[in-house]
Amino acid sequence: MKLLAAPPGHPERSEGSQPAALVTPVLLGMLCVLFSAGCASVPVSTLQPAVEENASADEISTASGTGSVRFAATSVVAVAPRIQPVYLPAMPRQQQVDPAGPGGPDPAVVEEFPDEFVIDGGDRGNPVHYQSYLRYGVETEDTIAEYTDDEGASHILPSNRVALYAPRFAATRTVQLPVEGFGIERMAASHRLSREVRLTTREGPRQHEAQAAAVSARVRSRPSGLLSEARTADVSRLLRTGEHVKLINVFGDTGDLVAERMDQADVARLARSLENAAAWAGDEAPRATASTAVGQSIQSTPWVSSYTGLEIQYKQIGELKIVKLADRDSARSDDVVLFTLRFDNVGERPLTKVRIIDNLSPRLEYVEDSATLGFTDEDEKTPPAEARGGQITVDDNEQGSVVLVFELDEPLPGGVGGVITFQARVR
Amino acid sequence: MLQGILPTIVIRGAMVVVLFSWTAPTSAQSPSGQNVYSPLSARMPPGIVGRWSAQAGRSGSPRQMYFQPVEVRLVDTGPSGGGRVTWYAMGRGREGIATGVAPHAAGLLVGATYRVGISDMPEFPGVTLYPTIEVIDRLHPPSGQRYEFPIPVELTGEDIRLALQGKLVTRVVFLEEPRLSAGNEQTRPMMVHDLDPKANALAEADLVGRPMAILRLGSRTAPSEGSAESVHFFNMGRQPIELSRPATTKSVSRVGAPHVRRSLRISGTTTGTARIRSTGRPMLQVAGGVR
Repeated sequence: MKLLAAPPGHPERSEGSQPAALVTPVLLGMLCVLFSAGCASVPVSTLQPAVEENASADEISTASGTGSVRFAATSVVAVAPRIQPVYLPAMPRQQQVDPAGPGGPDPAVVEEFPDEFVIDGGDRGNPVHYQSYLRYGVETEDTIAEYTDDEGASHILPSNRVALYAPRFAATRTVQLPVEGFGIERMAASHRLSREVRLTTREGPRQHEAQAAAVSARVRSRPSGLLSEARTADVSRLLRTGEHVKLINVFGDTGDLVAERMDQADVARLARSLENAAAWAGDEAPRATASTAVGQSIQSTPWVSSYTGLEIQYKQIGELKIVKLADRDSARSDDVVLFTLRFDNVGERPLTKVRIIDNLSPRLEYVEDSATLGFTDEDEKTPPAEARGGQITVDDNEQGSVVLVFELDEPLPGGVGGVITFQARVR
Repeated sequence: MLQGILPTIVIRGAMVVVLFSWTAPTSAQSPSGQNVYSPLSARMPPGIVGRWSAQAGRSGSPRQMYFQPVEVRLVDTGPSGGGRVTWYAMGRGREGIATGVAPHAAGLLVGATYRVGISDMPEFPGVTLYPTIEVIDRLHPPSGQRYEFPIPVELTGEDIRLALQGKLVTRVVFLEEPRLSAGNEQTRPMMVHDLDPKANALAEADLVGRPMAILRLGSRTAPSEGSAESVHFFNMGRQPIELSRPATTKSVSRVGAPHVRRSLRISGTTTGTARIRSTGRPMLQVAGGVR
């Protein structure tokens, strides 16, 4: 294929023609910058169309019988623009990708012209989050996975975004009679009658807030020395004991206390009382005991018979990865697209409550009973009773499509992955 | 005394008329109740909207023009395509540069206006119409699939009848916003929103999508051969056109769809919950190998 503008280093780009090829675009570019509105006035007869076709070396061969597909190297030579387009500052949408570029599912093209694609996957708009145990932010086109690791932490993970080139068109129509018209409108008559009536309105203030500012402020400052003298006019304090209880727990109290003086007679009487008290309470006399203690020593030698150990978890915590694929990059209306959700626990510890939520675009219609599920550690020899399972919930997303919720029944062990496939029809 | 009162009455009456007629142009500026001022309209002469689009950079860089494929389709005008399409460009004059049975596609410059001839319609014998197509934006399809996704410009039998009645039919083809499609099915023929004759079809299309092309169809006949008007009528500025349909290359995804050995089905209705039981081992084919 012959290209009109070969890139640098291309064999078809002759060295001798470079100066002439460069001077002309530079001059045109300077003219375009100086006269920004003049870019559109470039005579179209001097312009050359761009060629964006693929090289002829594209080959696809399929080995019959084995099902394997071989891909030959595709040599696509992008045509670099010679002059950067002059953009008007008032219209930001004019900043577009290279017109001679390949287009298609290039992320830059998808990002700038999403209306030409049917997009599924990712987390657009408001990010998915939880609030008051409710999930928010799952808009159409979103695909997320939520799971819980073995430490109890919950995670939300969006998938990648899959874009199918599937533009759809509609039209607006007006039907007019292209005839000339000349009309004169004149006000025929105007009559206005207004009558005065009595109107009494009473309205009470519903809310009244008043903020009054000080009209005038007077400040008087005194000298720093200030003497203050306070005198107690009259202080009277009366203390009274509210209650006084005295308990003397002796067997007999015959002593008399008189004016802080103790007589000799009182001492004798008190001594006798103490003797009586000892006699009354002397039921047990003290006894003498004697004992002989002999020191002993114990020596032992333990023999290890068994170990009981506590294994510490050094395994890597579980982590989910999710990838979304489509079996084509472009589609038309009524085409059926096979979507694939590949999820893997790349950690070593299990994950629980694994759930994948796919909110389909309004341009996609889920094909009923088309969902399949498979795991990497199971094959056809796995007994059906031991095979893992899950459930799919299909619900209306109130945007013209459905929400698919895939939920696994059992925890996903470390290093194990799975594949969910489903089909959707392009509207 | 009567001579002094009469001029006063006349002046006051004129003031009242002016005040009452003042509100008319203000209400006509907002299309469909939207407080958006649209400087462009589909009622403008052919070429103005495209010129604005070209200046805005929709046609690509000035040195590398982009030919946007446009496919003319005839609906309800007869069997086997419904008629013949003739493209006028490159100064070829009355005979046109190419002709073919509808639907027929050609690459048109973004921002330019082209004359198209519609003839040989079984439902309308002997009728030849010359609508204009003004391309105002372009698509960005995958490489090698430009002609797989052209801008469809449909002309129905109803449009032909309205044109033959002397009316001007204006269609603004726009690219639908997928997130606003609300689950509507693709219809054949294309879904058309009929508007009030005074409405701005371009502004209305811009509210729900991206306007791509403007079709204007009337009952105008071709001027006589050799006249000065004939040159402008058929050439519309001598724009180039792309007629060679390049070979298309099928693109294949590098990562194939995973193969589940035993197909698993779930039972359930469109909405509800169903059980899935796995018995197959999934494999991913990557570049011919099996992972």
